[in-house]
Amino acid sequence: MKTLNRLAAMTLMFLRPALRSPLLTLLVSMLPISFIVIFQMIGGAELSRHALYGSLIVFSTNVGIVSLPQLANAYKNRSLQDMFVASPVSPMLYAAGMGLSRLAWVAPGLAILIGALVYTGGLTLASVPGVLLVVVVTWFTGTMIGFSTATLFDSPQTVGMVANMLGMLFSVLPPVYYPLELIPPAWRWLPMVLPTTNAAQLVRVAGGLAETTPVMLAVHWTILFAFAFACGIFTFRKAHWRQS
Amino acid sequence: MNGTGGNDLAIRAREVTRTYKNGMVTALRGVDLEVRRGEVFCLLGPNGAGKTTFTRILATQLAPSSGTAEIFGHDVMKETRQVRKLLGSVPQASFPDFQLKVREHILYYLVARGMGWREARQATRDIAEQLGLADKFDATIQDLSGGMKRRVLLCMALATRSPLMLLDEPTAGLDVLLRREVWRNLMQAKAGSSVLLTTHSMEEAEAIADRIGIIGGGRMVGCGTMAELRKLAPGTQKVVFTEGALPREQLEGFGYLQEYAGKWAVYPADREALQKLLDTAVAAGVETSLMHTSLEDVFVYLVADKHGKLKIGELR
Repeated sequence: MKTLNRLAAMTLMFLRPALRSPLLTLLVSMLPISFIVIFQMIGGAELSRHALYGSLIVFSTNVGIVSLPQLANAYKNRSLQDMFVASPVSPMLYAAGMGLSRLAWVAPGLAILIGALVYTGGLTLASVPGVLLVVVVTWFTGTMIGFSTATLFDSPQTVGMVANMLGMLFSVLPPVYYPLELIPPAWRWLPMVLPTTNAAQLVRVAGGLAETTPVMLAVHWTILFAFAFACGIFTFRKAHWRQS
Repeated sequence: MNGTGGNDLAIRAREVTRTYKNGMVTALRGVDLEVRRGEVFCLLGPNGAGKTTFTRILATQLAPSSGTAEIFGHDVMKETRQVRKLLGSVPQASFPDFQLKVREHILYYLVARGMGWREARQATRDIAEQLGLADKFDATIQDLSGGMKRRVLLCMALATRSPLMLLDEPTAGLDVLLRREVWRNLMQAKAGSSVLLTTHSMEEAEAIADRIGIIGGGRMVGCGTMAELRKLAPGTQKVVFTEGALPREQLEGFGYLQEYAGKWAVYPADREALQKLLDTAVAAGVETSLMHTSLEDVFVYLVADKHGKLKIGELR
């Protein structure tokens, strides 16, 4: 119970400021919304549906990869992080609070998206738990990557650039908004190494927008979890809490 | 005893060194320090002297290159978890989150550290009252003045009631009235905690410290009570002349001569030398002022004069 209280306090500390910044919320929402609109104009309803499923993954990943490092870096540069270092707050509690605050921040958006997909028949109620699991695992991976970015680089400019580049690498370039089938078969293995591609495929399969074999389904889940596990290990080994 | 184990020493540092950039820059060159339980200890030093580096090592934010440091008997490197439970800290140049409210900032910090919600709410209210922030309790940090923002951080540290407070220049940038108010609040709210406070301000050190350490060029060049530090100066009194009012060689014959801002201050070695110096000045018709040696005089003597006649800027 005490740990949950501590985690709640840590989460609220990072969440409250985000809720008081409507512009920030608008900024985070703009990328997925833009892609849905662009794909609607270019490819019609079919492609925009892909973008709609993909935006679920982008929301859950980018809050960790793009937004979290900038928040963490701000706390670091204000030396507020140092106040937590010199306290019983562990780096895991700090990172978890920060990550959960980002998830809670986009949770209403995710809920609206999933609700809309269920309402329009794009997802069945039975498939929602699976989709939520994908969302949570991609959020965890994004959080770990974001926290590492923030702790490995000091300059806010560098953190901003690295975070945005990683955001592009994980959510814009690979087939997250658009179907994997648009990539030539010989090159499909390349985006498959990224967790976001696999997550997007899993969500599309759940929504009946893509077909796959049981083997490929297992491959998607394995890559998703393996990436999350590797990112978790890397973060807790490499992310700097005490400066060496 | 709050995890302090009845240890009488809040801080014990031995030969602490720290280098940066693969040993190219040396920030600390073997600092020894003991701070007693309940003591307010001020660490004075010019910019780049190593105060913040030393404080960050004690706060477990930075690893030393060599040497040992203990907080209430716990090694900062080997027993980090125990050490962190004993600390409250305000880092140098720290700022609160501008989008949080005063109440939220203190409350969430306390609960995240492990205090229960009810106790933390009470502690938040109490510390805000003590530090004069009660009427700003629900104000957003961005609406506060610079001094109040700084006080929010002090509230966060002091409300933890930790046995050791590490405060790195907590009054930097505050005007003299605010600074004095913060000193008064700090002394009221510290409630038996030991305090290590770094500062540039001699006035601050004299006003609140039980003992003072002077750090220069990464070394502890003087440590003790005000009375003990004054003994490290070349004299207890100084006679100040306008530069060139009398020949330098003649003045140096009476005692140690220190130059600053177009003045020469002579520290006569004893009462006899003082009397002779004053007689000489009167005979020559030269205006002088006789003053007691201040902490600033001791500081300049120890940091810039005694240790290799360095200029302050060269100590970095």
